[in-house]
Amino acid sequence: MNRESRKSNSAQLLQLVIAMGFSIMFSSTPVRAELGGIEENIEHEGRAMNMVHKKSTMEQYSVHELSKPTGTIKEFALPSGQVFAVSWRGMSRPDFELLFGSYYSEYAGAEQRSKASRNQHGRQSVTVESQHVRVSRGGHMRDIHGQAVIKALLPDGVKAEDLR
Amino acid sequence: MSRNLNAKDATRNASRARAHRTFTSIIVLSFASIFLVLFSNCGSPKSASSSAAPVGASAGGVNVMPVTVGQGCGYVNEPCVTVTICVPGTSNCQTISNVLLDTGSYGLRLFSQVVTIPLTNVTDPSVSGNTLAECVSYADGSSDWGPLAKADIQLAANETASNVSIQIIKSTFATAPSTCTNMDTSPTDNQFNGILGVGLAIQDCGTACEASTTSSNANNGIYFTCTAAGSCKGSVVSGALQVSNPVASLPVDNNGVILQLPLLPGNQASQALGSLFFGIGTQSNNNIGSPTVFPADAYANFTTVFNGVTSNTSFIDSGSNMLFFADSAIAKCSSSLPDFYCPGSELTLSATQKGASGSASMNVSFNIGNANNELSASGVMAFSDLGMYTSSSDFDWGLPFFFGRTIYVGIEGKKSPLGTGPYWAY
Repeated sequence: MNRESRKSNSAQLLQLVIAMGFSIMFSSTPVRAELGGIEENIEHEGRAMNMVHKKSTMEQYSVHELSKPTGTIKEFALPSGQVFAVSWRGMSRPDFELLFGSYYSEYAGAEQRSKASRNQHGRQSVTVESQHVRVSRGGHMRDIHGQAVIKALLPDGVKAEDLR
Repeated sequence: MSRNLNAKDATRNASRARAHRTFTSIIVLSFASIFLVLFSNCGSPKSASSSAAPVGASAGGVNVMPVTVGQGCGYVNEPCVTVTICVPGTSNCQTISNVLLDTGSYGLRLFSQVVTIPLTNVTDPSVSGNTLAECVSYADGSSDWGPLAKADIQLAANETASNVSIQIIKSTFATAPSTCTNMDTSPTDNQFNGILGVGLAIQDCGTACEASTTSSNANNGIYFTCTAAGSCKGSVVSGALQVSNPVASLPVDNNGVILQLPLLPGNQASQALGSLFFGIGTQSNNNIGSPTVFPADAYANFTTVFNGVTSNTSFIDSGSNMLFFADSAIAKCSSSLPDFYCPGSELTLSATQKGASGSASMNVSFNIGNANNELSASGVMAFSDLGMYTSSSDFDWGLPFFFGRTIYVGIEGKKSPLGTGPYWAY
């Protein structure tokens, strides 16, 4: 089943919305509050997932925090409304395919390539760098965290490590 | 063979001295270079100490599990142990070697390919005919998927945890959830037969995966209930049924473990042998001494300050085969070893570890060597100076930190003479 056919069937999608419960959920409208998407849908989607939504505004971006007992996800949006970074922390990792949106396939390809190193030397790098996105992962069992940033959209003077 | 190791050590020591920028170091380095050239010309510059004797020994004892690094294990800095599992309450048992000893996870996981005794899967008490399964994820993006089973776990002669939930790692079990990507599939790929998680927590999820009156925890992302036809959906699972750290279920020595690995001369060895003691201050051979105790937080993290940067997501993890931390000033290796550190000379660095609460604070000195040189040396499997850059906020004190130390791992909620867990002490 490819991603497009998943999108067309909301019932199947509901079953897929699992990890930490913070995967982006929707009914018939397509996912928008994902990496590269737009921020105005975040609050609505948070409500649909019974997640508490908080918004705070920094100088160069706004932060939307969605939280549940099992974890928290943050989405970082530019003044234009575009989500340029996401971060997560919780008991398990989020559904990267839903959270990374159109950037998922380049991430998955890069991750596959980096796996060769793990098989040879133990653990692979926690950083997965693809054409447009840098994904950083970390933590350990019961505390899995990380972030994904669209490199070209990172505002001047903002460091990736500020977006956690 | 040992001559090459000597040459290597000379280079290494010289390099360390050079880091201190003394005049003497230049002279030492010159001699080292001469030795290196001489021995390189003898034929096999990359072969090292494959015939060298192991460093250290297991203590032995009825509450002790021998630990080996580099003997019968797959990759460098992989601490391996042997466990015996039995069908609960029976003498139908099986001994499984090459199990990764991991203070950064909780519970026993074994690949289905190596389990030959008929263990019974854990059924879902709320849905008749369903089996409980789980997907646990690791920092490097990999995950383990498969059903739960009950087993008696014998960790040492006198240490058996009865009727404990374990995970059978089986990527082909039922239909794995779409979020469970990058799954471990076989002992051959992973180079171990399973993982023994003996860290600070008892369950691998805990209350976040249990039924709650205040929140819906079924979509916890970890536990699933699967029909006989193989369809799975998120589920709450009681703490008693969750995959659990078997140490917490031992009859007596259940308040934690003590991992002791030898100091590696010159930061490396062909093999290292050590001991995992069960219990802290409960027997004559697990006396507490006077270590510094670092309380951990609810996530099993403490604090490390390095280069002026504070990481509150720092942890001590024997299952990480390197030190993972961020120092953009250290040269990285080529793209064939992504993010490994490859400094031109051996580095001596320091950091400060602090408890998540209280006042415990300790300066730690550690070395980082050139991973490219080290990993290309054949037969050397234990390194106390292997490091990797991380873009995360973590400071992960992996196996290199354990060499030459006695590290106490105090389980959450369990009392010991060192206090109530979760804590690390050394």
